[in-house]
Amino acid sequence: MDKRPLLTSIAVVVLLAVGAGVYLGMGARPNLGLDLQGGISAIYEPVLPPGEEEPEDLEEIIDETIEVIRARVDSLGVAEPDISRSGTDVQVQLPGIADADRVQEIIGTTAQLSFRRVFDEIPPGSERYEEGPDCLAPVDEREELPTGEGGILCGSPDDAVVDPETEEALPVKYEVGPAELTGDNVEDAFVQIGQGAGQAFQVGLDLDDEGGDIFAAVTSDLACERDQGQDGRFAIVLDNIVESTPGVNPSVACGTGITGGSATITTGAGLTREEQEQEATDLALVLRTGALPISLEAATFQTVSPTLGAESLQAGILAGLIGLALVAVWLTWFYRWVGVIAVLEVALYGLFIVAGIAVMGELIGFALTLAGVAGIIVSIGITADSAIIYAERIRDEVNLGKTVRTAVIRAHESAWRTNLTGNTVTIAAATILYFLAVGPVRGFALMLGISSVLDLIIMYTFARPAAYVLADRGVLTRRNVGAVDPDRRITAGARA
Amino acid sequence: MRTPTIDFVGNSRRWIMISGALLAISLLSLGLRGLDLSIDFVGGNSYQLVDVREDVTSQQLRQAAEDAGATDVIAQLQTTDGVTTGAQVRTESLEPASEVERAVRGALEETAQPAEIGFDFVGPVWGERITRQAIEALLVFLVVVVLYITFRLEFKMAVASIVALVHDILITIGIYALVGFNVSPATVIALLTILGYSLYDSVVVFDRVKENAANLGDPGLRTFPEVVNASMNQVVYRSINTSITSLLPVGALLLLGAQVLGAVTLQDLALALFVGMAVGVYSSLFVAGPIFAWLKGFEPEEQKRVRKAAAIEAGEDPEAAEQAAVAAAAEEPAPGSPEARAPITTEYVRGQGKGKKRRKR
Repeated sequence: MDKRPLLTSIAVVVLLAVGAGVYLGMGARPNLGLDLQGGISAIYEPVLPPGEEEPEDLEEIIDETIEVIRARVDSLGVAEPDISRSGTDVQVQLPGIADADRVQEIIGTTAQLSFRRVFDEIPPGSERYEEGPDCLAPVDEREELPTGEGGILCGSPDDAVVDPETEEALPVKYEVGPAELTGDNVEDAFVQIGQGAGQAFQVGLDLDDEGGDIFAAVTSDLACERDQGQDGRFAIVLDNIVESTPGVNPSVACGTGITGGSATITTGAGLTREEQEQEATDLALVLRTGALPISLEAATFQTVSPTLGAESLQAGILAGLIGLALVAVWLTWFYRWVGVIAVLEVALYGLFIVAGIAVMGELIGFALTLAGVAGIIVSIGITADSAIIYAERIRDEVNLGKTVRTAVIRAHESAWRTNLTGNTVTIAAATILYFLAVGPVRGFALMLGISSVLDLIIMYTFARPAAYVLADRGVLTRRNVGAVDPDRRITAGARA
Repeated sequence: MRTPTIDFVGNSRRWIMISGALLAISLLSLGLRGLDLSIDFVGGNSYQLVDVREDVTSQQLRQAAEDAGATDVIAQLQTTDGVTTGAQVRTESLEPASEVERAVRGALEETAQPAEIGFDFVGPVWGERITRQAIEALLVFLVVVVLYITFRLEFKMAVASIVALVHDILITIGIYALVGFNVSPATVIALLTILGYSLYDSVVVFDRVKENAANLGDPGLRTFPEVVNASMNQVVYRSINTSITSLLPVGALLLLGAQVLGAVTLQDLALALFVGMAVGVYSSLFVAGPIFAWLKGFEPEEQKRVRKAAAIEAGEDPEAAEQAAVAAAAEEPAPGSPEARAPITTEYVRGQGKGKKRRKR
């Protein structure tokens, strides 16, 4: 038996284990889910305004709604908020936040769209920038501008300008008039390609009858302002933030305005076609979201106190370690040397899974939940089982009259096949659960699936070569693999 | 260590009675008492109060919540070493941060004076949805498993595995109904794990059966029930040891979970796992195996084998009788068995037999 590949395999596994140990020793720790570190975790379902039918691009509108919510949550200063959409559900994870009432208010409020006249643009650093709201304050603490009143509003943080004095990136502020139109007046908004030269991307806008009349009057005024050499721009405001400030086209006459209840907004002069398309798409979505103000209603809402989370985690870790120790004692007592290999397998599993979760936390932001901890503890049993099947098989083969050296090889063949079948069932279960279930079940399924794969890998790259080498060195003997005495061998063999 | 010789298939009637009794109790308690479903399935609010006033009573908490406008209130105190440390209060579904919900939270805070208060809310529709999703996931999973086992092993094995699985799940749920434990998402996770374990155990047994089926007709393995029996005896140590190594960590979880107030999830999970794993090992040996042997009994080929085996036992077929003798010579004959009385020829004593090569035996 050529031992070099076997020893290499063991060496690689041991090196990886050392690597994982050092990685953890240097302070790498798994990301903790909300139920372990405390915070608020909620799932929201979209609720359409009464009488509205579900639009085809509901998911995109929800995405835009999420953007609005994210902007609001970001202003709260949560360390790592996680707001994501799965299907039409919105999952919100806010670690370290305890104020349920405030979160509910921030997320449960619908986004309001309004069209206002721009009186003045106030870039950061200019004299008047101190006036009006603090653009970096939490949204819910900022003063809301009622629809009937004018005032100063912040621009979108995406269009922030660096303040020449403080070198801080701040959004531009706008002084605007009262709302002329609201989201209620918008019937539809969509991206289209313009007729003229260059075929620029545009946003088409359809208004209802009332909106069309107001729009004509306002654009007529704006055209007059433009003719007088003033700014003459319109602010599109979503959720108290100025998203866009289009002006009126030279072709629009003072005194007539844009009639017919529809208009086009040309975006992004001087940008590449891709950027233009992006901007047009974004603006259309802002308008549609404003036209269809979806409110989010809590489907589940969970607050976890940080102390409870920490205690759960401690209990889980302690239970895992005690379980590991008990399993180790049992396996070495029952299976002797083969048991020692089994214990090492389980220990390797523990080390790799913790390091693996830490890596996943770093790379894709994966967070370990309480259900995941449970999945890991359950998987200790799975790993121990593959070792047990192997140990039992070695004994059977030796009982049949094989030498220990050949028995470990034959036994691996059959034990491997059994394990592969069993683990495939487990992996199938984990995969299906992961994709079909929601909430805590998913975290559990993921851990179970990863553990099963890890179990197979450790069995092949560590348990197998370790047993071969030990058998070859004569460490494993008939007696310590638990075989019956040679003179009673035939008896047991025929019975088996 | 010797391979045990337990007659799993022959004593089917006994196992049927045990399983039947357990199933009857489970179904009865399910029908009569029903399950205590947590808010996650039926919707509702749940408040966890940490470090409450020591002399607070559940009656006071219930009264406080009801006075604040909640209905369907259930209040439970949690104690450690006889001292009240926390409490859990469940109400019907109240929109978070709504007027009533704030009032209830305030009232509880005032009554119990907890160090911390956490709450869960589950909307009424959500519960139905996740229950439905879980059932869908289960059905898809079962179909995939049947296909996989059929492809990898045999259809009848798939059927027997699924029967064993339904048996395990029903009994575990039955215990929840009987004792009145709260069924939470953690319980569902545990049930799914049990499902995995139960299948895994059945697969390990059937994998052995398939391997040994190559020797069908050999002495000691003449009929399918005999093959199944032998295979199960071969894996019985593995089953016991696997259960021990699986139950040790779960047991640790159960004990520690009970100590920690917030670790309700861990405790729920450990409890269901503990029960389910124990039932799972029993069923993989005493339910799945015998059912498979019974299903196999309907195949004409197997009926032929059974007749032949019966003939050999009666000593009618001389060639077959010789084979029985091999078994007698090779085995430690059970006293009084037909093999023990069979003649032993010199060829067999020399180990040359009929010149037919025995496969690794």
